[in-house]
Amino acid sequence: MKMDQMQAHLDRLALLDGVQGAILFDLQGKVLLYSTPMALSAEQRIVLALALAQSLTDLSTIQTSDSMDLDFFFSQGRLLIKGIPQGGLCIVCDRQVNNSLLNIALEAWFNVLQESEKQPANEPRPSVLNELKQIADEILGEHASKVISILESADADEADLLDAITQAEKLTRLFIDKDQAVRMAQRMRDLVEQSR
Amino acid sequence: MVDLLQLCELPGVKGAVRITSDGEIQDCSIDASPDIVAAITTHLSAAARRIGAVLNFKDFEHALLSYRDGGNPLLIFPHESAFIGLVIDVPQTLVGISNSSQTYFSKELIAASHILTRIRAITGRE
Repeated sequence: MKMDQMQAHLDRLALLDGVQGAILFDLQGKVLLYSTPMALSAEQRIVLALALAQSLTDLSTIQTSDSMDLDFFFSQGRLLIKGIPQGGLCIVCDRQVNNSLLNIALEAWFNVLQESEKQPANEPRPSVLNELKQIADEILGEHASKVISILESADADEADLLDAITQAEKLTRLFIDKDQAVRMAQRMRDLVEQSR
Repeated sequence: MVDLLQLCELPGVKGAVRITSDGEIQDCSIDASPDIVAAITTHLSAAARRIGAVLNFKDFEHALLSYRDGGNPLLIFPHESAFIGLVIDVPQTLVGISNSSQTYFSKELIAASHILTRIRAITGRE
């Protein structure tokens, strides 16, 4: 539930005028959640998350602080990174983004994050759907949208997710590529199995 | 080439370091922990190059590192073929700004913006 709320707030944040996308990543460089309504490809997200996780890890080693913020300005864009425990939130935006609106959206997002940190550790991980979407994105790239909508229409329980994966596999096999379908479905089923 | 002592005289600047793109210290005017500031400057300048390449954001202009648990922010920018790292002392006049927000670094951003404006006047940077 909290991950869903975090995703919803991340989506809201990414819809702000001037924001191109937002990525939540862990210190291993894995993309946990993302919302990129305009610009970021799967490859860009993955490379960014890896590079930024490495930067935060290195900086916290140099400076022994894990509560740092970074703000990079380029001639054609801006990247904010907010260090959080065990990861970071990255926001890709235009140079002209409204800082006050961004602050308000970030404040709401971090309130949800703090709430989620209070959750018991043994609650189920609701990020499976996001990870499934990420697999579809990685393997199918620009053709992933239909598969993602199938996954999103499934309920959170395992049987429904497995049904959705089977549907997605058939669709991919028929309209995109057989090998990609097999590879994608296998990774998705492994993920669902691991998340039990 | 800009004189680091001149930069250190700007309001809000506590110290400065200049490094090559390989991380070698060319010049330093910092009293405490110059090696750490140089290491962070090196690291962030390399990170900026990677990020700029991934996102096609073109030229790196500057970066600001700030700490929510205290500590002086660090402002980094390229200058000629080197990178300069400035240790910033956020003026007390700005402390009240966005003090309730734990989520972003408005006062550090304002301080950095003031400093960058003055640096542009010194170096002629656009």
